[in-house]
Amino acid sequence: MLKRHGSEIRRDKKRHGSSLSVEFEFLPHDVIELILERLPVESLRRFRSVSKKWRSTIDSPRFQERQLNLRKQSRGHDLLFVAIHEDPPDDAAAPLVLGASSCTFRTVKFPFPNLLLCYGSCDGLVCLFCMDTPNVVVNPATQWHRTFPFSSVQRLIIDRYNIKRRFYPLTCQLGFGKDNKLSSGGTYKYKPVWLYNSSEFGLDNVTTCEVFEFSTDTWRYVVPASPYRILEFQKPVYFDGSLYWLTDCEETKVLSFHLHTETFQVICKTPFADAPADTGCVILFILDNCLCASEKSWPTQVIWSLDDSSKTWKKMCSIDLTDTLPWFNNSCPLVPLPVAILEKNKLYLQSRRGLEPLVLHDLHTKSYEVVSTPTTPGDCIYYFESLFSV
Amino acid sequence: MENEKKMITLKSSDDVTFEVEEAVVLESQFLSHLVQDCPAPEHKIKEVTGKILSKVVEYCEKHVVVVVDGGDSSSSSGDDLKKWDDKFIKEMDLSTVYDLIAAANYLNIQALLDLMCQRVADVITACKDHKEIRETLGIVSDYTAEEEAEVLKENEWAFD
Repeated sequence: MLKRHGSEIRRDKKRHGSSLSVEFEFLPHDVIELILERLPVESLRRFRSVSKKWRSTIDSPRFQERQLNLRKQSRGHDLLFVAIHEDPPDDAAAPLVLGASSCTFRTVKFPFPNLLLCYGSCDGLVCLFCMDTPNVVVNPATQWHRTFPFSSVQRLIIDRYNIKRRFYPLTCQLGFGKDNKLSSGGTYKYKPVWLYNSSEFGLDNVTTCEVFEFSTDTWRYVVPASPYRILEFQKPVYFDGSLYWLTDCEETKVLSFHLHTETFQVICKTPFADAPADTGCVILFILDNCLCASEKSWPTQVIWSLDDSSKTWKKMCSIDLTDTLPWFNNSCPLVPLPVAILEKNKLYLQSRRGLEPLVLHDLHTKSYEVVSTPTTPGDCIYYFESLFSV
Repeated sequence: MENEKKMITLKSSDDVTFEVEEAVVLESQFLSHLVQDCPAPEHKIKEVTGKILSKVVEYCEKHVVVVVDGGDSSSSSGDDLKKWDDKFIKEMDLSTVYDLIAAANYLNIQALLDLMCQRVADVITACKDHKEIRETLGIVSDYTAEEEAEVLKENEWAFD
């Protein structure tokens, strides 16, 4: 059938000659871009070989941004389960459509030995790290990837612990985000960031911050770093040009690092500031395009979202943990991590241990349902497919 | 509130005329401005043929929001409209689609342009490789054999 279209075009060429009839190649280029930005990333990646014009369009940062924006508008994010040890079975690779939404859940395994994943994704890029193999940033849709070297703190950890064991107390975690300000070259800067409490490594000042610069392939220190110690074991959360942490103070506060100005700022208290923050019981995450926080306060886990302009917290929902934990074999020592909310009331929860199922909790009916049970340990992240690279 | 419906005549490049309600014309940003700036009863659209203009008019008439007496605003329900759109594009060959894209772009009818672009995007997505795309869309490759081999290799930067 497609061939028929082809011959029709050629016939038109002969038949019309001077008529007003147009062919694909004679459409204005901005219209051709409107067509191309609707293609799935996988097709765009393969179809760079159609012509030079297609390749330069698909490779241009402006087009890539338009494609991502259209993708964000037309459907919400997808969920990606990143398997870390072994390849998932073949049938797990097929995407699963979640409920009535167009959000899909898919399992992937990257061919890198890195065991740890930064929180979420940024413009469709996922960042992995580890202590025995270089860090790597990956675009799961195009399979583009780039490794980058260890930071000072990674070397300190490597020197201190017997890394061969692959088990070490990693009290700080890598963050990954984007400087939202467009550079003069029309591109954005992506920045991996380490922030850690200095005392653990015998360093001066309260905290130490290191930022990686992809343009020079080097890590550098950011001074001054956070004036407050940060809670251990948390994953920095990227949201709209900044990375966020929770502080380890009498009153737990939300700390932001603006990736363009590279400055730290305490933006507000947490909604549970009065309660002593217990490591692992409080957590920051993104839901519904908002920075959210939650705390385990037995028997409930309340989820709060931050109003960006007023910097005030609004209660989004609360989960009864006595009903929830049996779905995680009663063994969720940390609170379950909300990974997505779809159709306003369908909350997707993941344990943070890797082998427990992804559970759908309907906030209206209070029902639970297992969406998928991983066969290999991994992390579930929200994600939009894109053409971006660093 | 009884408004007499204002009618406007559109004339194609090949002098086919279409008498349509003003509301239909307003679906096009370009024609809205034209009608406002130049309140003539007839407008010639030199860039669009009668065959294509009839399709444009058919689409706009279907999509126009009908204001019923009493201020109740209603249009065909979303599902019906989507079904209609699907049928509208299904019956069309690609050559007509390109003409309609050019017309929708010129007349600035965003929804029609989106619909038609999606149709072409679907055709492209269904192609198995660059050769089939070139054949389907009538694109002449400007790559040399070496360059093409190079790009195909780049596409395999992928894992493994």
